[in-house]
Amino acid sequence: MIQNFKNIDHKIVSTDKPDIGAWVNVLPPLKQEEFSELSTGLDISLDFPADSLDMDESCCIEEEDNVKLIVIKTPTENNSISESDAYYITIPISIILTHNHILTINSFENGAIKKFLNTFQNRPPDNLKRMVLKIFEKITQTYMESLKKINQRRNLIEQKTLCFQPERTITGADENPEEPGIFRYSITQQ
Amino acid sequence: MKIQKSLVYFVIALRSNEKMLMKIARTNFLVLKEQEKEILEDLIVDISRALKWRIFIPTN
Repeated sequence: MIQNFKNIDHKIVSTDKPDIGAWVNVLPPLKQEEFSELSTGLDISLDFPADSLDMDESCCIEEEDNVKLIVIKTPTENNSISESDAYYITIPISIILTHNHILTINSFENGAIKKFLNTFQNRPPDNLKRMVLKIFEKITQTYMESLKKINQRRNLIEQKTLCFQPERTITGADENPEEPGIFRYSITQQ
Repeated sequence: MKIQKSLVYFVIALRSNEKMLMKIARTNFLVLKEQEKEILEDLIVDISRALKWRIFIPTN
């Protein structure tokens, strides 16, 4: 699926074709025909979009004919139902910067791109590089939010473990604002 | 186990992203202006801070 967005007077406008200054977001399901159409329409090498389909693609930067490719890893919740699988995994997304367009190619839906879409009306349409930086920022934010959720899960597990010791009670689990990630507990002997 | 596996994925990806953003800054891959370079530097610092989070230090 290909989405074309443009920022017109601080409003997100979805268009049928990628106009100049548009953000083109490619989401699953990904079709080869759509890639070919995109490749021809924007004059981009077909190798570029194909890279982000590979889950094991590692971070990289490349430039070909003044088209810049950035592959960056983003966090996403793991939908696996297996008990031994991770809560979160990381997946690559491709960001392609041409003279007139910015493209993001996702093999899965991900939170960072949704965050970017939600603030897209604030992005100056004539500065595509700033948009790339904003995507980096949204990815970093998503990592931090996911880490906080993981930390909360870990603290719950620790609390449960400590509560199984009958001679002790726990009276607090507050995060120290000056030391993110460190939670202080008060454990009293009975 | 699920938490440990998630953290392993995160630490590998964050290090990889950090390295790549440093390369973008060093080579000026995006041909950024001064103010934009500062934004990129701040993002690299944010990733570096995230990697130093205590959550990544294994507890016994």
